[in-house]
Amino acid sequence: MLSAEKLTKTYPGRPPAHALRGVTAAVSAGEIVGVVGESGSGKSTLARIWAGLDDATGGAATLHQRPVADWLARDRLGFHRRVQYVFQDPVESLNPRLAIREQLATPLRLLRGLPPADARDAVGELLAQVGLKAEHADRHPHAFSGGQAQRIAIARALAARPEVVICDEAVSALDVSVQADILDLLRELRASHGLAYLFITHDLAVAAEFCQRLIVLKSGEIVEQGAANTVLANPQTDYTRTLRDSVFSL
Amino acid sequence: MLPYLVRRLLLLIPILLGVSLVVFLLMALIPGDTAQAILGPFANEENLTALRAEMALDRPLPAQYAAWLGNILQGDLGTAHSLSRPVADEVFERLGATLLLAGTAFLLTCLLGLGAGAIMALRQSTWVDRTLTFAVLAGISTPSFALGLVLVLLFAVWLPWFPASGLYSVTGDGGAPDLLAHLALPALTLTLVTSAIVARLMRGQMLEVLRQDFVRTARAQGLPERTVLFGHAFRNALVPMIPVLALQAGYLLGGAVYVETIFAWPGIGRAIVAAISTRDVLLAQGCILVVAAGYVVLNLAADVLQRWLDPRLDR
Repeated sequence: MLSAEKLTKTYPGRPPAHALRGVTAAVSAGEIVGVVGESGSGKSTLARIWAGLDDATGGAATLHQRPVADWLARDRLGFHRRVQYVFQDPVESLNPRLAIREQLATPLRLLRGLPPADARDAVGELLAQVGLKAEHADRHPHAFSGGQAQRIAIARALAARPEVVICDEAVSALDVSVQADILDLLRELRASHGLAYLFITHDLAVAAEFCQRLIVLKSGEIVEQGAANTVLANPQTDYTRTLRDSVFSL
Repeated sequence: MLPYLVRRLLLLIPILLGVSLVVFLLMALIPGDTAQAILGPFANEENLTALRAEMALDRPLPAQYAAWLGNILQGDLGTAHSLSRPVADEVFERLGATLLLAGTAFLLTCLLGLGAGAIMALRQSTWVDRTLTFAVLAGISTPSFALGLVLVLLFAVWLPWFPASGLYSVTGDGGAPDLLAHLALPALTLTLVTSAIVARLMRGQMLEVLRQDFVRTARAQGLPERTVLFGHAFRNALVPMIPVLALQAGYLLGGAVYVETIFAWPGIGRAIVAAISTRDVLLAQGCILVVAAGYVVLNLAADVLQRWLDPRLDR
């Protein structure tokens, strides 16, 4: 479904920063793919390019064999209907001035084509899907805890009925107990909606628990990828072994 | 929101009392004899004594303040000796001209300052940003009186497009075209300075908001770029600009003194200059009090508006 072929991203500067160096990877329908690596390894850059939020310098990022840039130029809404994004900081990812109802009604209207009145009514159902109450719709983002705000961000992503949700450090800013709740919610939603996740995280313990397959990035290059159990049980590189041992030795 | 509004309105009372005390002391403590200044150097002692008694200048300062404040609370700002007419009549007549000038400059400041600031942020590090940054720095660095004189030289002397002065009343016989012609140069002078400050700060606000996650989220949701920029980024950048705009409005209300003097604009700023030069204490106090009260009310309005627009502040 989502694929990257020899993807490169270079930020200009002296010297130029090579965020991605020939990354080739894919996410299939219904699959949970984790992208792990230390800070600056290019995880978020890969996610942003796949989400159409950034341009690649070279190579190809595609959705259903069609370049992301082509989707955005010819069928932008169609692309965002299929690919949605959840950011790290849930409160910051919500517009502080708008009530939740308005923030959730927008994608329902824009991406699902619901009439404004129906979109506003559908907000309650959307909140129920992520374990919140309909009366939460009239509050503003600052009235919610981090975990609740992330549920709202997930509800907003679900509003489009996407095929894949890119979670960029989506549980990193949350307490451990809240992390577990959100991961459970993501699993339930995957089961009920047939979603695929691209799960960006620096936390290998979370990746091990949640992901089916792992891509390990180091300095913009893939050093290893495969089934999560295999990668963690039998790492092929010192880098992956160090990442794993730093978490599981604790 | 309502309890906050009531609290702020109640807080206005001590603030305005403090403002009145400062305004009163400002004029009362100026060295020299007010009665002598009014009656001239050849006035005899008998007339001076009579005037001091009439104006309560022979009483202690606290008693003078109490009498002045008592009169103000009854709507009586006293009589302007230099004009032989009630201060209130003079102040409110002049206030109309000042509000017209300041209001025009404020609207232009909002359009130019906020617009230029947003454009600079959206075109960051391009020639558009650099050119506007240069213009903004020039605007901030130029004193309004110097800019006014340059504009007079350019557009009233070398290119005689606009009159440099000559407006006697905003409700005069010349009609709207004459009023607009007289308004052009003083309004432009004030606008260029204040919009430069607003543009500089708006650029920073807009850049900060554009980097925030909710703007990226709006893009990731597939919202049209125009909606992302204006519906989300611009509106959020605008909220912290409200106090800045209120301060600029206050500056325009009271700080237009130089500009009103240069362009002989019949406003409250020019009345303050005239009152001080003729030592018309009551007129000066009345004018300054109205400007200061306007400043306080503008800031209150800005606080309330900001709180209304940003629900995070209403906690």
